[in-house]
Amino acid sequence: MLQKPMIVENQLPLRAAASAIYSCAQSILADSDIKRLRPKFLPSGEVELGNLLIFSEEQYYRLLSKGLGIPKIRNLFLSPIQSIRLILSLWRVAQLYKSKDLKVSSPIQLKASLEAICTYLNLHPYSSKIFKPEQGFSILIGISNTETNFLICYEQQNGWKVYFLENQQSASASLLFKDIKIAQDAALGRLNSWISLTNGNIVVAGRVPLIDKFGYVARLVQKEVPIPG
Amino acid sequence: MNVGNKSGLLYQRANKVIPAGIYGHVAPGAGLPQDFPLYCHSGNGCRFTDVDGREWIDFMCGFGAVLHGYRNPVVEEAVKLQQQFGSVFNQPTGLMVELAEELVAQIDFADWAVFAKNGSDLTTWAIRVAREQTGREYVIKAKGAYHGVDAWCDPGLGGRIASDRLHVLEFDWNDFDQLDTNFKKYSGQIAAVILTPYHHPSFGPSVLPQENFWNRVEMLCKESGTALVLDDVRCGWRIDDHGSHKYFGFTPDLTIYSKALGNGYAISSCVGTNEYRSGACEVFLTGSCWNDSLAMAAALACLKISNEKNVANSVLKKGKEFCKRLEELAEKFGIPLKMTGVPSMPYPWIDGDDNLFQIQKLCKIATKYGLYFHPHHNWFISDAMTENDITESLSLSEKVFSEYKLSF
Repeated sequence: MLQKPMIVENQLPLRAAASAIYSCAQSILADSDIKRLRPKFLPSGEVELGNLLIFSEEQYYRLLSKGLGIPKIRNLFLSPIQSIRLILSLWRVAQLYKSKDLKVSSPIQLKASLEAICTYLNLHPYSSKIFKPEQGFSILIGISNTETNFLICYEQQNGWKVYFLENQQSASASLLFKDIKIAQDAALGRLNSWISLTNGNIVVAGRVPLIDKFGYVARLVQKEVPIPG
Repeated sequence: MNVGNKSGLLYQRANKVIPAGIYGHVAPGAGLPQDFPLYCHSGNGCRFTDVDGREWIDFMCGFGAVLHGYRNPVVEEAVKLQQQFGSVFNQPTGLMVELAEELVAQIDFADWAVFAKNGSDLTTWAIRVAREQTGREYVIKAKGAYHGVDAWCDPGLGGRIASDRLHVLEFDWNDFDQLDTNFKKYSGQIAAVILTPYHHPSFGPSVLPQENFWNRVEMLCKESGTALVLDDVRCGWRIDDHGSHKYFGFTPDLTIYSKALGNGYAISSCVGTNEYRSGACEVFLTGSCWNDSLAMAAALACLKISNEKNVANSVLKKGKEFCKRLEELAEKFGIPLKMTGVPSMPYPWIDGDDNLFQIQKLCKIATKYGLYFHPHHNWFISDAMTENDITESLSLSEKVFSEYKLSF
């Protein structure tokens, strides 16, 4: 069974953003640096990174959304080199969101946004409730004419999870972005999903209730979760 | 949607001033967003023309709101006549009384009738009447059944709070034992059971009631002092000219009609027995234009047409002919297409296509031939559909099936 963590009220958007950042880190950083970006949400409401830096919720939000969060000073001085390395890692993730190389950045950003959505599917009370009947189904999210395909499905152990797909294997529903630019716009919350459905920027097929619910949660995440950079 | 055509341009304008551009069951995402027209211009008989001038053979009839064909001359004449006098006044016109009398005369169990504009207005009101009359809180509905847009039953996702459905119980259609279990568990607390004449959910095949299902439900409700509410909004006048309960052989306490009642003029009605009259008197009911005499004139004309022409039988017959030949045609191409539900409102289902990819593909191809086949909702057969229309639709369907087969 999926063990749901205790969540300090209103921390879910930060958790979702953190999972997005962690996903980016997995794509661009060395193993040792990736670990540092796995956040620990403290019962006090503070957030700890790499067992080093502790941020207040507000500063962590600033760090995620603006790249400028100020940690509590004490640890910064206790391990200055490690702290700077961690801050540099965060900076590199933030840079990815400013990258103009869409071929590289767009699939990573798309995966990161799907990780944030999965965090909601697992932990957001209403989102997980409406997705409960969909647990036996899966949704493919990809970019047309590329090898970027992800599958979101439910597992007893891990809950809703994103997987890379080698090819567009069968899923209960599919959502394909027209190209890498459209996928990036979607990942960064810049896309009007209603218009995109009608002008072909997004093509959906398959199990409609699953697509509807996915769209609802994706828009909720878009509204609530800070986008890195 | 072609962004350069009128439909596309209208939709872009709409998105600036209307949330989501087009909403509800006609939202692009609910159908085939890049293939169905987004805006209509005109209609005649069983065909309509979109804003880009393309004509379609229609199998949706304004999602059921039009039974006698677009711009039916008898209905239009009745409306035109009333337009000379006006539509909405401080008080209702005599047409309201006339219409209530006509419904009470035509619906065998009905002792009274009230009017509103949409099905939802009165499914929700009927539930409240049942609660008022019985002094109970709980309502039972079938899983996946649509009864309107109010918070206790809407299929959407937004704007809900936990208490919205606190007193709404569900059971699987046709599973009488499950319904009975709910009655036992909430003994003496069930105000109403609300059901459609048969199960016609979106995204799945329609299911007819099993033998004795309705009689057992009726008996259970009677024994428990629970109101049996029939949501005949979609089926009304498409299965039987005097209410769908007649077709399935049972008697409800309250029934809600809309759609075909006005042939495109917004009107709904709830009819009920004397037992529920006092409850009906106590539950507040009104709306800005609910006394609209034009819609009432249209409804009177519709009832007259249905009675004189035996329209329910006519659309059942036309639907049966169309569905049978469509299935045969599909079989010729090795496509396991089944037209489920009643033939006047058939739902297309391809065996093994649980996730709807194949029916979506088929209906998408159909749009190229001007056939408005919906992949997710039951279709509606217009009484304006002629033998020639059916033949033409089948001939085009043959091309659709051929192209569909070639796509594999």
